[in-house]
Amino acid sequence: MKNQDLINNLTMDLRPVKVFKLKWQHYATCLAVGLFTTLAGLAISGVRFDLLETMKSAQFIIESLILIVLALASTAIALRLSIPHKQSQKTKYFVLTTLGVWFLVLLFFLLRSNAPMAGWGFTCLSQVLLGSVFPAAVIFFIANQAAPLSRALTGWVVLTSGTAFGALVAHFSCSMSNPLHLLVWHALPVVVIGVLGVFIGKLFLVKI
Amino acid sequence: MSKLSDKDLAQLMIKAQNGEASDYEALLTYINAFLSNYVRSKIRSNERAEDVVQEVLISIHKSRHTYDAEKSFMSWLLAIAHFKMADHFRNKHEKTTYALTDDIESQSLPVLELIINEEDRSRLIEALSEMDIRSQKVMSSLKLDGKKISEIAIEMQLTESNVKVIASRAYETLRIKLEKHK
Repeated sequence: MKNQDLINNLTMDLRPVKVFKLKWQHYATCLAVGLFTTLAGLAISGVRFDLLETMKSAQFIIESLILIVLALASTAIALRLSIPHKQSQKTKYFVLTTLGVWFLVLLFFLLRSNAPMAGWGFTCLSQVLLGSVFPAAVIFFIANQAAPLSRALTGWVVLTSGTAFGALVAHFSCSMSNPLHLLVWHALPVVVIGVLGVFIGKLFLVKI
Repeated sequence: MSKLSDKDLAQLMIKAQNGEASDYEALLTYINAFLSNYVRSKIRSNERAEDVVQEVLISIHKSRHTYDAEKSFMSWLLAIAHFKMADHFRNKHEKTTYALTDDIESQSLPVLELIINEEDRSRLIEALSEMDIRSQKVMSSLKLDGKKISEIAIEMQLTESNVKVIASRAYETLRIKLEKHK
């Protein structure tokens, strides 16, 4: 099709549109949903009995910070990816780096651990999975109102954001602090479900 | 076409967002001209460059609601254009096309050479007859008549790049057809 024919077709197809601007309200909504999901998850699962004691441990504090950064940053990045000129390749590396740091921290403590034990973690897995649904759905909905250029990348970051909130639920309710358990049942599901986001993004996000 | 400033383009886009068709057409026409030069400077194949430009125009149409009037229009446009070009390079179309059009005249064509050397022109002619007129003309001039790309371009009133692109695509189609007939 010649370009002029295409221009004619697009002009004939022109309709007034409602301009979509990414506002602080969008960010706030997503964060509020994430926070609500985390608190609701904790209300259902219950907070770990030794939380006050565990909060003194360096491993717990570092992991908490990483998860909070991952959840907040991924949410913001996912929203920015839905606007053509707001996206940047560097944002992809920030999410990857945060995940990488998380894994390195866990590996560090794993190497220092005397008795690595993965244990039973399907409860943790279900918390990560279920905790991701509502936040991810909201971010997907908002992103779809805009125009994400890369559906795969956006999908990945959206699911990473969602699972980070789910991982926060697991983090504050699971009483197992063994690094191998955290690696297998907390961190790995975030990565795996995040990768699934690549396919979910291609399926559900509008093609630009 | 006179050069439009970022502000002018932004104004056209705002009117397009409101449904003003004439302004939208003017905007797309300008973008088409700009992108055609811009993309061709990055992608050698004219056909592929045209494909990318068309994809960008369609993306602009689908994502026009995301343009923020307070921001630079060109940065919004180039973000889409760069993404589509990166997509194009990821699909490796450019590498394949570039390799084939680089030196199409002296490219080794094992199946064709075999046919020509054995003077089995009927198989080649049969395969050529199944192709479109332009491809037939280019391939028969190139391989049967032994003409140069420059001569064919003059004869068919095309650019040499166009002839190379037609030849590379026709060559690939012909190769597949002839290998099937073997």
